[in-house]
Amino acid sequence: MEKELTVKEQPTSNMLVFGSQSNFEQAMRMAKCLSSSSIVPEIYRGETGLANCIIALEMANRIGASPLLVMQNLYMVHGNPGWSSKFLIATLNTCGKFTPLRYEHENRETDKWRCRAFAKDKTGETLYGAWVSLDMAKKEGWFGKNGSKWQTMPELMLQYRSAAFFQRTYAPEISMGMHTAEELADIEDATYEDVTEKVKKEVDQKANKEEINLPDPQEKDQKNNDQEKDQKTEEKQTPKPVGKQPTPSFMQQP
Amino acid sequence: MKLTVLNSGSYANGYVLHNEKVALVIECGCPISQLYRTVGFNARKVSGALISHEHGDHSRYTEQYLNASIPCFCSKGTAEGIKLKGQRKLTVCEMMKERAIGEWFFRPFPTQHDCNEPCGFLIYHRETGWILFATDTYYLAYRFPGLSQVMIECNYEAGILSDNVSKGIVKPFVRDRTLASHMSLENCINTLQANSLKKVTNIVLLHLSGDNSDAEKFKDSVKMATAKRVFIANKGMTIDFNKDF
Repeated sequence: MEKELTVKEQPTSNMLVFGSQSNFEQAMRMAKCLSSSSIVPEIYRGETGLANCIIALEMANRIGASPLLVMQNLYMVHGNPGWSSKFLIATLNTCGKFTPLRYEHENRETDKWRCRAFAKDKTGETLYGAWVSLDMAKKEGWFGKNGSKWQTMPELMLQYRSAAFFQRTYAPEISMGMHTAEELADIEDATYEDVTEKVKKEVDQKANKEEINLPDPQEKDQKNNDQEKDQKTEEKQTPKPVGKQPTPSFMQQP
Repeated sequence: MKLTVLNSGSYANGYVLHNEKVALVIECGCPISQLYRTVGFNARKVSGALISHEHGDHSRYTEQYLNASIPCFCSKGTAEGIKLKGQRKLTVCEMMKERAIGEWFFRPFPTQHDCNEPCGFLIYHRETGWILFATDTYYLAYRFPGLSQVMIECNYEAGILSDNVSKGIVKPFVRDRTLASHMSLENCINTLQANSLKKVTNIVLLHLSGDNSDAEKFKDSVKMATAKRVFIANKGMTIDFNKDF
Protein backbone atom coordinates (compact mmCIF):
# COMPACT_ATOMS: atom_id res chain seq x y z
CA MET A 1 0.00 0.00 0.00
CA GLU A 2 1.39 3.32 -1.09
CA LYS A 3 1.57 6.00 1.46
CA GLU A 4 0.95 9.54 0.34
CA LEU A 5 3.01 12.34 1.72
CA THR A 6 0.93 15.21 3.01
CA VAL A 7 2.16 18.69 3.70
CA LYS A 8 1.08 19.91 7.11
CA GLU A 9 0.05 23.54 7.00
CA GLN A 10 2.08 25.84 9.15
CA PRO A 11 -0.07 27.73 11.61
CA THR A 12 0.13 31.37 10.71
CA SER A 13 -1.88 34.19 12.21
CA ASN A 14 -4.01 32.03 14.52
CA MET A 15 -1.18 30.14 16.18
CA LEU A 16 -2.17 29.09 19.69
CA VAL A 17 1.04 29.18 21.69
CA PHE A 18 -0.11 26.58 24.19
CA GLY A 19 -2.08 24.59 21.62
CA SER A 20 0.64 22.08 20.74
CA GLN A 21 4.28 21.34 21.37
CA SER A 22 5.34 22.58 17.94
CA ASN A 23 3.46 25.84 18.46
CA PHE A 24 5.14 26.30 21.79
CA GLU A 25 8.60 25.63 20.36
CA GLN A 26 7.93 28.08 17.59
CA ALA A 27 6.75 30.66 20.13
CA MET A 28 9.91 30.10 22.17
CA ARG A 29 12.04 30.97 19.16
CA MET A 30 10.00 34.12 18.60
CA ALA A 31 10.18 35.00 22.28
CA LYS A 32 13.97 34.64 22.34
CA CYS A 33 14.20 37.02 19.43
CA LEU A 34 11.85 39.53 21.05
CA SER A 35 13.53 39.36 24.46
CA SER A 36 16.87 40.25 22.95
CA SER A 37 15.40 43.37 21.34
CA SER A 38 16.10 46.72 22.97
CA ILE A 39 12.87 48.36 21.82
CA VAL A 40 10.50 46.10 23.77
CA PRO A 41 9.55 47.31 27.28
CA GLU A 42 11.82 46.41 30.20
CA ILE A 43 9.70 43.53 31.58
CA TYR A 44 10.09 41.60 28.29
CA ARG A 45 13.86 41.91 28.00
CA GLY A 46 16.50 39.29 28.74
CA GLU A 47 16.25 35.83 30.26
CA THR A 48 13.65 36.87 32.83
CA GLY A 49 11.44 38.49 30.21
CA LEU A 50 11.27 35.36 28.05
CA ALA A 51 8.17 33.97 29.77
CA ASN A 52 6.47 37.36 29.54
CA CYS A 53 7.18 37.42 25.80
CA ILE A 54 5.47 34.04 25.37
CA ILE A 55 2.37 35.30 27.19
CA ALA A 56 2.40 38.46 25.09
CA LEU A 57 2.60 36.32 21.94
CA GLU A 58 -0.34 34.22 23.09
CA MET A 59 -2.41 37.35 23.73
CA ALA A 60 -1.38 38.95 20.45
CA ASN A 61 -2.49 35.81 18.60
CA ARG A 62 -5.79 35.66 20.41
CA ILE A 63 -6.78 39.25 19.74
CA GLY A 64 -5.13 39.43 16.33
CA ALA A 65 -2.71 42.24 17.15
CA SER A 66 1.01 42.73 16.63
CA PRO A 67 3.14 41.30 19.50
CA LEU A 68 5.02 44.60 19.87
CA LEU A 69 1.71 46.49 20.14
CA VAL A 70 0.56 44.15 22.91
CA MET A 71 3.88 44.48 24.75
CA GLN A 72 3.72 48.25 24.65
CA ASN A 73 0.18 48.37 25.94
CA LEU A 74 0.13 45.64 28.55
CA TYR A 75 1.09 47.01 31.96
CA MET A 76 1.76 45.33 35.25
CA VAL A 77 -0.09 47.17 38.02
CA HIS A 78 0.33 45.84 41.55
CA GLY A 79 1.32 42.47 40.11
CA ASN A 80 -1.67 42.22 37.78
CA PRO A 81 -1.60 42.66 34.00
CA GLY A 82 -3.87 45.33 32.55
CA TRP A 83 -4.38 46.94 29.14
CA SER A 84 -3.86 50.62 28.62
CA SER A 85 -7.22 52.30 28.03
CA LYS A 86 -6.18 53.86 24.74
CA PHE A 87 -5.17 50.44 23.38
CA LEU A 88 -8.49 48.97 24.43
CA ILE A 89 -10.38 51.79 22.71
CA ALA A 90 -8.23 51.41 19.58
CA THR A 91 -8.90 47.65 19.50
CA LEU A 92 -12.65 48.25 19.88
CA ASN A 93 -12.62 50.86 17.12
CA THR A 94 -10.85 48.53 14.71
CA CYS A 95 -12.52 45.24 15.61
CA GLY A 96 -15.15 45.70 12.91
CA LYS A 97 -18.11 44.84 15.13
CA PHE A 98 -19.00 48.43 16.04
CA THR A 99 -18.63 51.94 14.75
CA PRO A 100 -15.90 53.93 16.58
CA LEU A 101 -16.77 54.66 20.21
CA ARG A 102 -18.40 57.97 21.06
CA TYR A 103 -19.20 59.49 24.46
CA GLU A 104 -22.28 61.09 25.94
CA HIS A 105 -21.79 63.49 28.87
CA GLU A 106 -24.42 64.79 31.26
CA ASN A 107 -24.22 67.57 33.89
CA ARG A 108 -20.67 68.53 32.89
CA GLU A 109 -18.50 70.23 35.50
CA THR A 110 -20.94 69.44 38.32
CA ASP A 111 -20.99 66.81 41.07
CA LYS A 112 -23.51 64.86 38.97
CA TRP A 113 -21.22 64.70 35.94
CA ARG A 114 -21.59 61.36 34.21
CA CYS A 115 -20.54 59.80 30.96
CA ARG A 116 -21.29 56.70 28.91
CA ALA A 117 -19.80 55.25 25.76
CA PHE A 118 -21.91 54.26 22.80
CA ALA A 119 -21.49 52.81 19.34
CA LYS A 120 -23.60 51.28 16.61
CA ASP A 121 -23.40 47.60 15.77
CA LYS A 122 -23.69 46.09 12.29
CA THR A 123 -27.50 46.16 12.38
CA GLY A 124 -27.45 49.89 13.06
CA GLU A 125 -28.66 49.52 16.63
CA THR A 126 -27.06 51.95 19.07
CA LEU A 127 -25.46 50.18 22.01
CA TYR A 128 -24.98 52.12 25.22
CA GLY A 129 -22.44 51.28 27.91
CA ALA A 130 -23.09 51.77 31.61
CA TRP A 131 -23.00 55.28 33.07
CA VAL A 132 -19.85 56.24 34.94
CA SER A 133 -20.19 59.24 37.24
CA LEU A 134 -18.02 61.33 39.52
CA ASP A 135 -20.33 60.28 42.31
CA MET A 136 -19.50 56.64 41.54
CA ALA A 137 -15.76 57.47 41.50
CA LYS A 138 -16.12 59.05 44.94
CA LYS A 139 -18.12 56.17 46.38
CA GLU A 140 -15.73 53.58 44.97
CA GLY A 141 -12.80 55.49 46.47
CA TRP A 142 -11.14 56.22 43.09
CA PHE A 143 -11.50 59.98 43.39
CA GLY A 144 -10.11 60.50 46.85
CA LYS A 145 -6.84 58.58 46.64
CA ASN A 146 -3.53 60.40 46.54
CA GLY A 147 -2.48 61.56 43.08
CA SER A 148 -5.81 60.49 41.58
CA LYS A 149 -6.23 61.53 37.94
CA TRP A 150 -9.97 61.81 38.64
CA GLN A 151 -9.29 65.11 40.39
CA THR A 152 -7.06 66.60 37.71
CA MET A 153 -8.52 65.21 34.47
CA PRO A 154 -12.05 63.98 35.21
CA GLU A 155 -13.27 64.12 31.59
CA LEU A 156 -10.55 61.79 30.32
CA MET A 157 -10.99 59.39 33.23
CA LEU A 158 -14.78 59.30 32.72
CA GLN A 159 -14.28 58.49 29.03
CA TYR A 160 -11.63 55.85 29.70
CA ARG A 161 -13.76 54.15 32.34
CA SER A 162 -16.97 54.29 30.29
CA ALA A 163 -15.08 52.74 27.34
CA ALA A 164 -13.86 49.96 29.63
CA PHE A 165 -17.44 49.35 30.85
CA PHE A 166 -18.73 49.32 27.26
CA GLN A 167 -16.07 46.83 26.17
CA ARG A 168 -16.73 44.60 29.18
CA THR A 169 -20.42 44.27 28.35
CA TYR A 170 -20.40 44.18 24.54
CA ALA A 171 -17.00 42.72 23.60
CA PRO A 172 -15.42 41.04 26.63
CA GLU A 173 -13.35 38.80 24.37
CA ILE A 174 -11.17 41.76 23.39
CA SER A 175 -9.68 42.34 26.82
CA MET A 176 -9.61 38.60 27.63
CA GLY A 177 -11.07 39.30 31.06
CA MET A 178 -8.41 41.79 32.05
CA HIS A 179 -9.01 45.26 33.46
CA THR A 180 -7.45 48.43 32.16
CA ALA A 181 -4.27 49.65 33.86
CA GLU A 182 -6.15 52.72 35.12
CA GLU A 183 -8.82 50.54 36.70
CA LEU A 184 -6.22 48.38 38.42
CA ALA A 185 -4.51 51.45 39.80
CA ASP A 186 -7.85 52.73 41.12
CA ILE A 187 -8.99 49.43 42.58
CA GLU A 188 -5.79 48.35 44.26
CA ASP A 189 -4.56 51.66 45.45
CA ALA A 190 -7.83 53.08 46.76
CA THR A 191 -6.92 54.62 50.08
CA TYR A 192 -9.42 55.17 52.81
CA GLU A 193 -9.50 56.74 56.18
CA ASP A 194 -10.66 54.54 59.03
CA VAL A 195 -13.60 56.56 60.33
CA THR A 196 -14.65 54.20 63.13
CA GLU A 197 -13.39 56.42 65.96
CA LYS A 198 -14.49 59.62 64.25
CA VAL A 199 -18.03 58.31 63.79
CA LYS A 200 -18.19 56.97 67.34
CA LYS A 201 -17.07 60.34 68.74
CA GLU A 202 -19.62 62.23 66.64
CA VAL A 203 -22.44 59.90 67.66
CA ASP A 204 -21.48 60.20 71.34
CA GLN A 205 -21.40 63.99 71.11
CA LYS A 206 -24.49 64.66 69.02
CA ALA A 207 -26.92 61.75 69.14
CA ASN A 208 -30.25 62.13 70.94
CA LYS A 209 -29.32 65.48 72.51
CA GLU A 210 -32.07 67.85 71.41
CA GLU A 211 -35.74 67.31 72.18
CA ILE A 212 -38.45 67.97 69.63
CA ASN A 213 -41.75 68.95 71.22
CA LEU A 214 -44.59 67.32 69.45
CA PRO A 215 -47.92 69.16 69.49
CA ASP A 216 -50.64 67.65 71.63
CA PRO A 217 -52.43 65.06 69.49
CA GLN A 218 -55.78 66.07 71.00
CA GLU A 219 -55.43 69.54 69.46
CA LYS A 220 -54.87 67.93 66.08
CA ASP A 221 -57.86 65.65 66.51
CA GLN A 222 -59.91 68.69 67.52
CA LYS A 223 -58.71 70.51 64.40
CA ASN A 224 -59.73 67.57 62.25
CA ASN A 225 -63.11 67.33 63.94
CA ASP A 226 -63.66 71.08 63.47
CA GLN A 227 -62.83 70.78 59.79
CA GLU A 228 -65.31 67.93 59.41
CA LYS A 229 -67.98 69.93 61.29
CA ASP A 230 -67.34 72.98 59.08
CA GLN A 231 -67.79 70.85 56.00
CA LYS A 232 -71.05 69.47 57.34
CA THR A 233 -72.36 72.96 58.23
CA GLU A 234 -71.45 74.21 54.77
CA GLU A 235 -73.37 71.34 53.29
CA LYS A 236 -76.38 72.21 55.49
CA GLN A 237 -76.29 75.92 54.53
CA THR A 238 -76.37 75.26 50.79
CA PRO A 239 -79.69 76.76 49.53
CA LYS A 240 -82.07 74.27 48.03
CA PRO A 241 -85.16 75.00 45.90
CA VAL A 242 -88.33 75.05 47.98
CA GLY A 243 -91.69 74.40 46.26
CA LYS A 244 -92.81 76.16 43.08
CA GLN A 245 -90.86 79.31 42.16
CA PRO A 246 -92.55 82.39 40.56
CA THR A 247 -91.96 82.64 36.79
CA PRO A 248 -89.66 85.58 35.88
CA SER A 249 -91.41 88.48 34.12
CA PHE A 250 -89.56 88.03 30.81
CA MET A 251 -90.77 84.46 30.61
CA GLN A 252 -94.40 85.27 31.33
CA GLN A 253 -96.93 84.96 28.45
CA PRO A 254 -98.53 88.29 27.48
CA MET B 1 -54.65 52.07 59.99
CA LYS B 2 -52.26 49.58 58.43
CA LEU B 3 -48.65 49.75 57.35
CA THR B 4 -47.69 47.88 54.17
CA VAL B 5 -44.05 47.50 53.23
CA LEU B 6 -43.65 47.69 49.44
CA ASN B 7 -39.93 47.03 49.83
CA SER B 8 -37.12 47.84 52.25
CA GLY B 9 -33.35 47.70 51.81
CA SER B 10 -30.57 48.90 49.55
CA TYR B 11 -32.44 48.01 46.37
CA ALA B 12 -35.79 49.76 46.88
CA ASN B 13 -37.81 51.38 49.64
CA GLY B 14 -41.51 52.09 49.85
CA TYR B 15 -43.98 52.10 52.74
CA VAL B 16 -47.72 52.82 52.71
CA LEU B 17 -49.86 53.86 55.66
CA HIS B 18 -53.45 53.25 54.72
CA ASN B 19 -56.97 52.66 55.96
CA GLU B 20 -60.25 52.44 54.06
CA LYS B 21 -60.38 56.17 53.36
CA VAL B 22 -56.85 57.60 53.22
CA ALA B 23 -53.29 56.57 52.45
CA LEU B 24 -49.84 58.11 52.72
CA VAL B 25 -46.75 56.87 50.89
CA ILE B 26 -43.31 57.10 52.43
CA GLU B 27 -40.46 56.89 49.88
CA CYS B 28 -40.87 56.58 46.11
CA GLY B 29 -38.37 53.76 45.49
CA CYS B 30 -41.00 51.24 44.31
CA PRO B 31 -43.10 51.28 41.13
CA ILE B 32 -46.53 52.87 41.50
CA SER B 33 -48.17 49.58 40.42
CA GLN B 34 -47.19 48.18 43.83
CA LEU B 35 -48.92 51.11 45.53
CA TYR B 36 -52.05 50.63 43.42
CA ARG B 37 -52.29 46.98 44.45
CA THR B 38 -51.93 48.01 48.10
CA VAL B 39 -54.65 50.66 48.02
CA GLY B 40 -57.06 48.58 45.94
CA PHE B 41 -56.51 50.69 42.81
CA ASN B 42 -58.11 53.65 44.54
CA ALA B 43 -55.49 56.31 43.80
CA ARG B 44 -57.77 59.11 45.03
CA LYS B 45 -57.31 58.08 48.62
CA VAL B 46 -53.52 58.64 48.47
CA SER B 47 -52.94 62.02 50.11
CA GLY B 48 -49.27 62.30 49.19
CA ALA B 49 -45.78 60.85 49.25
CA LEU B 50 -42.85 61.79 51.47
CA ILE B 51 -39.25 61.34 50.23
CA SER B 52 -36.37 61.24 52.71
CA HIS B 53 -33.48 61.80 50.28
CA GLU B 54 -32.39 61.70 46.66
CA HIS B 55 -30.77 58.26 46.39
CA GLY B 56 -32.35 56.00 43.78
CA ASP B 57 -33.58 53.33 46.17
CA HIS B 58 -35.77 56.01 47.80
CA SER B 59 -36.74 58.18 44.83
CA ARG B 60 -36.38 56.16 41.61
CA TYR B 61 -40.11 56.24 40.76
CA THR B 62 -40.94 59.78 41.90
CA GLU B 63 -41.97 60.76 38.37
CA GLN B 64 -44.60 57.98 38.30
CA TYR B 65 -46.13 59.25 41.55
CA LEU B 66 -46.16 62.85 40.33
CA ASN B 67 -47.73 61.80 37.04
CA ALA B 68 -50.47 60.05 39.02
CA SER B 69 -51.19 63.45 40.64
CA ILE B 70 -49.82 62.35 43.99
CA PRO B 71 -48.06 65.35 45.59
CA CYS B 72 -44.52 64.43 46.64
CA PHE B 73 -42.87 66.23 49.56
CA CYS B 74 -39.14 66.48 50.29
CA SER B 75 -36.42 68.88 51.41
CA LYS B 76 -34.94 71.52 49.10
CA GLY B 77 -31.68 69.59 48.72
CA THR B 78 -33.53 66.40 47.83
CA ALA B 79 -35.68 68.25 45.28
CA GLU B 80 -32.49 69.52 43.61
CA GLY B 81 -31.00 66.03 43.57
CA ILE B 82 -33.96 64.21 42.00
CA LYS B 83 -33.91 64.57 38.24
CA LEU B 84 -37.37 64.91 36.74
CA LYS B 85 -38.12 64.86 33.04
CA GLY B 86 -41.72 66.08 33.13
CA GLN B 87 -43.34 69.37 34.10
CA ARG B 88 -44.62 68.28 37.49
CA LYS B 89 -42.57 69.49 40.42
CA LEU B 90 -41.80 68.23 43.89
CA THR B 91 -43.17 70.15 46.85
CA VAL B 92 -40.33 71.50 48.94
CA CYS B 93 -40.77 71.43 52.72
CA GLU B 94 -38.87 73.44 55.26
CA MET B 95 -37.14 71.46 57.98
CA MET B 96 -38.99 71.38 61.31
CA LYS B 97 -42.05 73.09 59.82
CA GLU B 98 -45.27 71.19 60.19
CA ARG B 99 -47.47 70.62 57.16
CA ALA B 100 -50.87 69.08 56.65
CA ILE B 101 -52.04 66.90 53.76
CA GLY B 102 -55.62 65.74 54.13
CA GLU B 103 -55.93 63.97 57.45
CA TRP B 104 -52.15 63.78 57.87
CA PHE B 105 -49.69 66.08 59.55
CA PHE B 106 -45.98 65.72 59.06
CA ARG B 107 -42.79 67.46 60.08
CA PRO B 108 -39.41 66.86 58.38
CA PHE B 109 -36.29 66.87 60.53
CA PRO B 110 -32.61 66.62 59.50
CA THR B 111 -30.86 63.24 59.40
CA GLN B 112 -27.22 62.30 58.78
CA HIS B 113 -26.49 60.67 55.40
CA ASP B 114 -24.03 61.15 52.55
CA CYS B 115 -26.29 63.31 50.38
CA ASN B 116 -27.75 66.78 50.22
CA GLU B 117 -30.25 67.65 52.99
CA PRO B 118 -31.63 64.23 53.91
CA CYS B 119 -34.54 64.17 56.33
CA GLY B 120 -36.68 61.95 58.50
CA PHE B 121 -40.35 62.55 59.19
CA LEU B 122 -42.64 62.82 62.17
CA ILE B 123 -46.05 61.85 60.88
CA TYR B 124 -49.38 62.19 62.65
CA HIS B 125 -52.76 60.66 61.98
CA ARG B 126 -55.47 60.38 64.62
CA GLU B 127 -55.56 56.59 64.26
CA THR B 128 -51.80 56.04 64.49
CA GLY B 129 -50.62 58.85 66.76
CA TRP B 130 -47.13 60.24 66.17
CA ILE B 131 -44.94 58.06 63.94
CA LEU B 132 -41.19 58.48 63.81
CA PHE B 133 -39.78 57.63 60.38
CA ALA B 134 -35.98 57.68 60.18
CA THR B 135 -33.92 55.81 57.60
CA ASP B 136 -30.45 56.17 56.07
CA THR B 137 -28.96 58.04 59.00
CA TYR B 138 -26.12 56.95 61.26
CA TYR B 139 -27.61 58.73 64.25
CA LEU B 140 -30.51 60.98 65.19
CA ALA B 141 -29.69 64.27 66.85
CA TYR B 142 -33.13 64.49 68.47
CA ARG B 143 -35.35 62.86 71.05
CA PHE B 144 -39.07 62.61 70.37
CA PRO B 145 -41.39 62.45 73.35
CA GLY B 146 -44.90 61.07 72.85
CA LEU B 147 -44.29 58.70 69.95
CA SER B 148 -46.85 56.00 69.21
CA GLN B 149 -45.05 54.17 66.38
CA VAL B 150 -41.42 53.93 65.39
CA MET B 151 -40.07 53.13 61.93
CA ILE B 152 -36.30 53.25 62.20
CA GLU B 153 -33.30 52.02 60.22
CA CYS B 154 -31.27 49.13 61.62
CA ASN B 155 -28.80 48.52 58.83
CA TYR B 156 -25.85 46.54 60.15
CA GLU B 157 -24.12 45.06 63.16
CA ALA B 158 -20.52 46.13 63.77
CA GLY B 159 -19.28 42.55 64.34
CA ILE B 160 -20.84 41.17 61.14
CA LEU B 161 -19.48 44.14 59.17
CA SER B 162 -15.93 43.61 60.51
CA ASP B 163 -16.10 39.89 59.70
CA ASN B 164 -17.19 40.67 56.15
CA VAL B 165 -14.31 43.11 55.73
CA SER B 166 -11.79 40.52 56.92
CA LYS B 167 -13.31 37.88 54.59
CA GLY B 168 -13.09 40.30 51.66
CA ILE B 169 -16.88 40.38 51.15
CA VAL B 170 -16.97 44.10 51.99
CA LYS B 171 -14.20 46.49 50.96
CA PRO B 172 -12.70 48.71 53.68
CA PHE B 173 -13.85 51.95 52.10
CA VAL B 174 -17.37 50.55 51.72
CA ARG B 175 -17.30 49.80 55.46
CA ASP B 176 -16.29 53.41 56.10
CA ARG B 177 -19.17 54.68 54.00
CA THR B 178 -21.58 52.38 55.84
CA LEU B 179 -20.34 53.59 59.24
CA ALA B 180 -20.83 57.22 58.28
CA SER B 181 -24.20 56.91 56.59
CA HIS B 182 -26.24 54.02 58.06
CA MET B 183 -27.48 53.11 61.50
CA SER B 184 -25.99 50.19 63.38
CA LEU B 185 -27.96 47.87 65.64
CA GLU B 186 -26.17 49.40 68.64
CA ASN B 187 -27.06 52.98 67.64
CA CYS B 188 -30.62 51.92 66.86
CA ILE B 189 -31.08 50.48 70.36
CA ASN B 190 -29.43 53.54 71.95
CA THR B 191 -31.75 55.83 69.99
CA LEU B 192 -34.83 53.87 71.03
CA GLN B 193 -33.74 53.82 74.66
CA ALA B 194 -33.08 57.57 74.64
CA ASN B 195 -36.75 58.14 73.83
CA SER B 196 -39.81 57.58 75.95
CA LEU B 197 -41.46 54.47 74.51
CA LYS B 198 -44.36 54.44 76.95
CA LYS B 199 -47.04 54.92 74.27
CA VAL B 200 -45.23 53.07 71.48
CA THR B 201 -47.15 50.11 70.11
CA ASN B 202 -44.97 49.05 67.17
CA ILE B 203 -41.30 49.29 66.29
CA VAL B 204 -40.47 48.51 62.66
CA LEU B 205 -36.82 48.00 61.73
CA LEU B 206 -36.07 49.27 58.23
CA HIS B 207 -33.40 49.01 55.56
CA LEU B 208 -31.46 45.95 56.76
CA SER B 209 -28.24 45.40 54.85
CA GLY B 210 -28.10 42.25 52.72
CA ASP B 211 -24.58 41.25 53.82
CA ASN B 212 -24.12 42.91 57.19
CA SER B 213 -27.30 42.07 59.08
CA ASP B 214 -29.05 39.20 60.82
CA ALA B 215 -32.81 39.83 60.88
CA GLU B 216 -33.67 37.42 63.71
CA LYS B 217 -30.85 38.66 65.91
CA PHE B 218 -31.81 42.30 65.28
CA LYS B 219 -35.46 41.62 66.10
CA ASP B 220 -34.64 39.78 69.32
CA SER B 221 -32.09 42.38 70.46
CA VAL B 222 -34.51 45.29 69.95
CA LYS B 223 -37.34 43.33 71.56
CA MET B 224 -35.16 42.61 74.60
CA ALA B 225 -34.09 46.26 74.87
CA THR B 226 -37.54 47.81 74.47
CA ALA B 227 -40.15 45.16 75.39
CA LYS B 228 -42.31 46.25 72.45
CA ARG B 229 -43.77 44.60 69.37
CA VAL B 230 -40.88 44.56 66.88
CA PHE B 231 -41.09 43.86 63.16
CA ILE B 232 -38.51 43.57 60.44
CA ALA B 233 -39.70 45.42 57.33
CA ASN B 234 -40.02 42.70 54.73
CA LYS B 235 -41.40 43.14 51.24
CA GLY B 236 -45.18 42.70 51.14
CA MET B 237 -45.63 42.69 54.92
CA THR B 238 -48.76 44.38 56.33
CA ILE B 239 -49.19 45.16 60.02
CA ASP B 240 -51.79 46.84 62.18
CA PHE B 241 -50.56 50.35 62.91
CA ASN B 242 -53.17 51.77 65.27
CA LYS B 243 -52.06 53.60 68.39
CA ASP B 244 -54.57 51.77 70.59
CA PHE B 245 -53.74 48.32 69.32
